[in-house]
Amino acid sequence: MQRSKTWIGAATAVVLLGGLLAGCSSGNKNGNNAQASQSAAPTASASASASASPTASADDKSPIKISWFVDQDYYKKNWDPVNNLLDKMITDDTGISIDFSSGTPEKLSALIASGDIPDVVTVDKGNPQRGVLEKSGLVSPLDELIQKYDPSFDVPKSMQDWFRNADGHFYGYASFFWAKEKFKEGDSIRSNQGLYARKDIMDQLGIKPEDFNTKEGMVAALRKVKDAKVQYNGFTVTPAYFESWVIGGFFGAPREDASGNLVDRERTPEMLEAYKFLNQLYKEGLMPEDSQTLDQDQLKEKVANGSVFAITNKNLDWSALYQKDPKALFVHVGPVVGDAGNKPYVDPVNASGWTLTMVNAKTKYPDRIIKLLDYLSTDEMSLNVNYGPKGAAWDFDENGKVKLSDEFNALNAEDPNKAKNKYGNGTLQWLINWTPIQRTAPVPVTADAIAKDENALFFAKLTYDMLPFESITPLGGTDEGGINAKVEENRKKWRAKMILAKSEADVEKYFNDEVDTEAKLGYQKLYDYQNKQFQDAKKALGLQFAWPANQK
Amino acid sequence: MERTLETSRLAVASGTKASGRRSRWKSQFALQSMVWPGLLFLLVFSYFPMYGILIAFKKYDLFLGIMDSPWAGLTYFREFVTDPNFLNVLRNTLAMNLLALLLSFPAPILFALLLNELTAGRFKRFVQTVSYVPHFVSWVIFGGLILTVLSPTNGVLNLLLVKLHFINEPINFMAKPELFWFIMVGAEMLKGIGWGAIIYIAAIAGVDPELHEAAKIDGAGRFQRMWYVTVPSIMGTIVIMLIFAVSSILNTGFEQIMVMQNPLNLDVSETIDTYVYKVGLQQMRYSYSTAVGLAKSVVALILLFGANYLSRKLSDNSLF
Repeated sequence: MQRSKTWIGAATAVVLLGGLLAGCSSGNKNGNNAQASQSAAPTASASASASASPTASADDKSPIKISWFVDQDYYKKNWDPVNNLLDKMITDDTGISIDFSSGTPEKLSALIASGDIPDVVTVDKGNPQRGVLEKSGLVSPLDELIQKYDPSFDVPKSMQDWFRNADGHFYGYASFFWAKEKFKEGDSIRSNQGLYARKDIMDQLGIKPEDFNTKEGMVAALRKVKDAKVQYNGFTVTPAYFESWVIGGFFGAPREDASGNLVDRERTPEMLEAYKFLNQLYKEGLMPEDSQTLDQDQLKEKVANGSVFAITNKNLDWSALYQKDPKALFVHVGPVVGDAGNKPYVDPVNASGWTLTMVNAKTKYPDRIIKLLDYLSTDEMSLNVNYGPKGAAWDFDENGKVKLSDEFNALNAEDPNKAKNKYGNGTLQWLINWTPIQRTAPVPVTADAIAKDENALFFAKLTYDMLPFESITPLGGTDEGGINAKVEENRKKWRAKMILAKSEADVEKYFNDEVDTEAKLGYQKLYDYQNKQFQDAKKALGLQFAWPANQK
Repeated sequence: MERTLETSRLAVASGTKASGRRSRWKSQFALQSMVWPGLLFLLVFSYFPMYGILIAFKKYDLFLGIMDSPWAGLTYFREFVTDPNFLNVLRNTLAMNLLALLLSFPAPILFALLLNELTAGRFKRFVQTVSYVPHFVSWVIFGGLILTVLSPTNGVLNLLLVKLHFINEPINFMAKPELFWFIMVGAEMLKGIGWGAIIYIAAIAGVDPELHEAAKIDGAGRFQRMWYVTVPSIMGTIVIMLIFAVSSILNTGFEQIMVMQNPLNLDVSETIDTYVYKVGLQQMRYSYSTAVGLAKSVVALILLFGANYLSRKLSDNSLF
């Protein structure tokens, strides 16, 4: 009896040990995978071709399941071809079901380190993981896949060129990419920046949009709001929440000097002027202290509550406010111009897009996946992923504009989430092209939609071609990337200090201090890198000058 | 089970009397085997991964692997120490920890002592349970609650202070750098007091009641008994916790600071952990992050030994 108990004890220990070892063995396996992937890297294209079954017909629709990782933490999608019309449409058309997973960029790093990535990976083009992936051999060059399996896949040339690596290949398809060569009459790149103010309050106090054209006029208008102590919804209305970089853009802060070198906007006299101006607003109580502490969501809430008069960020969406009060509209005003009288500019949305979608070099279905990417990136599918499937959620009206179906509108008004679950609108935008959507946008009917349309067109005129400037963000893992992170972190701090400074002299002092601190952080090395990237980009685009004031 | 233990204890005695470790090991086989999983666990998850520390001295490339990455020597250590923000970051880390040592280290002890004096068992348990709850709330939520309470526009605290006419204008607490350390330490105290008290409550429960009775007979009041009986009895526990606290003086919680940070308090809120996260990990600069982590661990080890040595000399209480 005793003996058997001893052995039971020992056996338990062995089982526990076994459990531990099992844990390690799977860990080791991952390690081996990483090694395997290293050795597989040079032969990635070879293995890709080997795995393509020669018998696969041109339109193979046999049901398969692929995995797809998106490096956006918030993103969740359960593939549901039974209830979700968009998913059903895609599965019916291609035979493919997608198993989506998502997470932070750090999670993607872990996946890369394990050497075992999902069939498809979507990564923010600005994240350090992108460069690592492209160099890792874990993803296939898209150009090779296209040539082999889907020669008719028409990827815009500007996108190919923009994302082409030194090895001559490009590895990802970009979402929200604005390909100039595909533009038609009337297409334009829009901006998320601008200057907007509440129309109802302007009317109430006799403020006109032109008042915002000068610094003095703008201050006077904001003062009126403050002095009138406007109440809305029980809140005292705050005159302004402005972002320094937008104001600097209005003052004409240049990004390139006369000899074609990159200029860091943050260090221009125009930017100093912007900080002084915002500091003046702060000192007069026109822009509150919490403008520097609130995050975007908190600001959004304030705007939606109606307690803000003027803003510079279009993304602080005011739709919720309008739905409660049809008079509470934000309309475009100004824009304010600086002392030098420079032409004002706003940054357009990134022409080079948002995310890149790449294909695992070891996937079993390279042929099917590349065709799926082709399918999802067509103009019509861009509309379908944005609104839900054509026919069910929308259709073209007689003018070729999108008209949403009554069923969709009804369900969307009842519960937007229910509509999303049924129509899949806005749930799969990783290969979307916004140009066809903008081109066919429904004719605005509500006052809010009309105002937004006017706002967008107004500020689209103030944009410039930002593409050459979009390549200056250093790659992750590099020394320049580290310096850039430090400089950015530092700037957050100094920005707040300058805007909330006690006097104008302090603003100037901080402005110079910032330059000194950055020099110690290794700024010169970062600038040299960025300027080189900028010159290379201009060369690739065939430009001598990139800043509109320099272009003849 | 009881019988097994007993017999093996007997076996220990006889084993040592006979000759050598071998037979002792044999007779303790069942007991010894229980240690193996623990040892193996330590080996596999704590000691084996230490070879990864190598990347602190290399220019680590994910695809070359740890061994084949080129050497970088002390580059990354130098980068951190010569960083213009280094002193600032170090100051914040130390300041918040020293403040915590001063304020939130004694708090759970005091709480445990007071709780122990409660006579109503039901009420005592209730208070204890309530005090645990914040520990189980994640920092993102807890930090959000604190921010909401302190908000200048609709925060409870400001409303209260204004209505009671203590202040005329709401205070934007999170925009006042001079308050940040106190808010942070206060929030941590609030969240950790109940949880931290558990170990002291357990220690107090182990105090021999005869000591209390003897003190009572000698005419000691409640406070005297608390001070002269309970506190000395749990001194060993307190000292050990203090040694741990001292050795982790370079660590600050990470999430709580990230949640409460904003550009206005960055000067006082950036700590080693958050800074390295931003300029190291987020940028996939693993060598740099490891170098800082290693430097921190070495300092922690020195502090641990130092504190342990001092406490052994001064109070006869020590970890080892």
